Amino acid sequence: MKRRLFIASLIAGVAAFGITAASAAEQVKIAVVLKTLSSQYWKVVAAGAQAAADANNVELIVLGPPTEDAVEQQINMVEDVIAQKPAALIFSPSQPTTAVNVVTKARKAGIPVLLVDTGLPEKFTDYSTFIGTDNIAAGKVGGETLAKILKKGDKVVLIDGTPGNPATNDRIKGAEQVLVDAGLEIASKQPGYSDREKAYTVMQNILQSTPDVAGVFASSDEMALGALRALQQSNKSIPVLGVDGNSDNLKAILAGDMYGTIAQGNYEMGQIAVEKALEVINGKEIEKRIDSGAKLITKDNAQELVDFRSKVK
Amino acid sequence: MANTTQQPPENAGVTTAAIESTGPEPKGLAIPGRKQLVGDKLYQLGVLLSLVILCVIMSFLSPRFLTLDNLTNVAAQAAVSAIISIGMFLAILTAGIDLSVGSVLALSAMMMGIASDRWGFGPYTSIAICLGTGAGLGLINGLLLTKLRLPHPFISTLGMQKMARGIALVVTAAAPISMFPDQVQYLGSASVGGMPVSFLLVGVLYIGMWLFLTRTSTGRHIYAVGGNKEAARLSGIKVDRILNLVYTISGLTAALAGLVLAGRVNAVYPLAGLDYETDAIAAVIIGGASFFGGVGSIGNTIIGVLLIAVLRNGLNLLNVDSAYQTFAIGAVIVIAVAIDVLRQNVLKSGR
Repeated sequence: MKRRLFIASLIAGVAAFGITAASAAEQVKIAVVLKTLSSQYWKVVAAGAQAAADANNVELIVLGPPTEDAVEQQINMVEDVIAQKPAALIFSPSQPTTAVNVVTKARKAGIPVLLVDTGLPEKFTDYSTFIGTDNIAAGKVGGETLAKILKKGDKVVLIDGTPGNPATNDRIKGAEQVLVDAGLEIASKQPGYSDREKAYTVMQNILQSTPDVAGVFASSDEMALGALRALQQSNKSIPVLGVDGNSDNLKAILAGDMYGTIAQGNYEMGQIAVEKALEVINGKEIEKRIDSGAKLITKDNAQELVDFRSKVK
Repeated sequence: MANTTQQPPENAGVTTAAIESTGPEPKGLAIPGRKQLVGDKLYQLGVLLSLVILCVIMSFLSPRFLTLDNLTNVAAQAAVSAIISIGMFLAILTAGIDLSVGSVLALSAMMMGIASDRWGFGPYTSIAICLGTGAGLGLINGLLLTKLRLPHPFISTLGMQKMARGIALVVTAAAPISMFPDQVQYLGSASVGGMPVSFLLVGVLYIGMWLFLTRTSTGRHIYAVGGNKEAARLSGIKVDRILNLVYTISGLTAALAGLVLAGRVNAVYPLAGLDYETDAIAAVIIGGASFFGGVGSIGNTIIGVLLIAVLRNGLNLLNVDSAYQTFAIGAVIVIAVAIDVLRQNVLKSGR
């Protein structure tokens, strides 16, 4: 029996060293459930939320499953925070269709729900706001950048994500619109399935038919890196742009290989979410859709972003 | 080793009774001594006590733990794992394992979604297709083992895990299907008198399985096959048939868990149940079942399931990073089995 007690005390020990000091003061409690806390992207979102919480004396509960595909575990986490009756819930559903029931449950418990990064299926509208990247706008930033460095009539290649993925498709849509308006020629537009290797193959093939490519816009950094590799192997040095601002791409930008990337404002997502949650709690009306912004990162400001990220733990 | 050290805890008497009823007493089926039985009872009590202690600790640490709302949450959250664990318990009881339960859950649920959404079948037909798919996949697991003679269920069910997940991803090109009729959602989302229907179902299934294992000859045969396959064969038990049945039940319970999960989130998605086999194995092992087969009780399995569910829920309430949750569950498995091994050694040396 003693050994059993030992198990129990171990469990308690494990639990205890993770507990954040519970404050007794009358703070507003806001719950944040993200897709995971085990990736840099989401850690930055959480850091943004924490910064806004600290600035506004908010008690923040932050949870996220070990991986983005632990769908049911994330739903359990939402249920568990609903039981703690937070004043608002900030939520990024891993699998939007499966999250409708649990968001409905939160709403029934009178908890306002703010979505970040990923929205819910269109039919479902019972949430306060959706804060995320406006992907068409992010694509436009990419298109404008290429239009600025290239000239009329130049041939541009667009590499899209998986057909049917609204996030990547919208980025291409935005870029294409700006480029066509600026009088550039879209030589090719093909899916690279958000995969580095696939985009590499696509770019190799395009170079066979269109050797005089003047610029490339890919709807994710992974694909931009794949395209860049194909271009380097055929000794072409032309501007390539991606979207995301992932660390590999920042390295390529600092090395002078990649022209730039459009970074999502994920820190801002967390920050805005907490600030807007406070407004909702105080009875203010807020917009149903908030753009957390997207920023062009080039050699000039890539180091800043790298430094900033190394501070987020 | 399995031949000489197996000792069915509370079913010791039952196992021998089963053998008396089916033929000559097989050699190698040792009847556990009194001391050993006491040891097993102690372990069972210990598992239950751990759960109680964990609940007490959690209610001290979080004022939200011991609320009706939260306990209802735990019950509903444990349901899917609890149902899967029934099949996993049977597989482990026969010295096997079923690594395909998570994928079978996903594919069965996807088939139900397709039947309802694409083929326009009614809710009950769709549910039947879900359960039929699960049972069918489970039977294939059994046949791979008994007819194709794959060396260990680890291999057949690992193969099924990958195949079923692959098909689940293919059938809708990875898209989820949602918006089911109420009948499909009933098991996963309805409540009766404040109790989630899913947990009432768990109660019915566990009591049913306990009766099946202890009160029917087929149930006793499952213990006998797990304890010593050769001895069971010699005593006239149709071992292959028992194994096919065990894996079919495991597929069926996985599908049933898929139905509950679909109702819970009102959607089916191809990555449903990912890694659920590990939680089920953990629950069965924490519940004291032996990996060598023939030993374990279904009643302890549900305690293992609840232990994991309470641990996850409590750590969520305490705002603990999920990385520590994963660690804690791993630590509990290791400690539970280590204690079991220690106990076995003490008993052996005391003989």
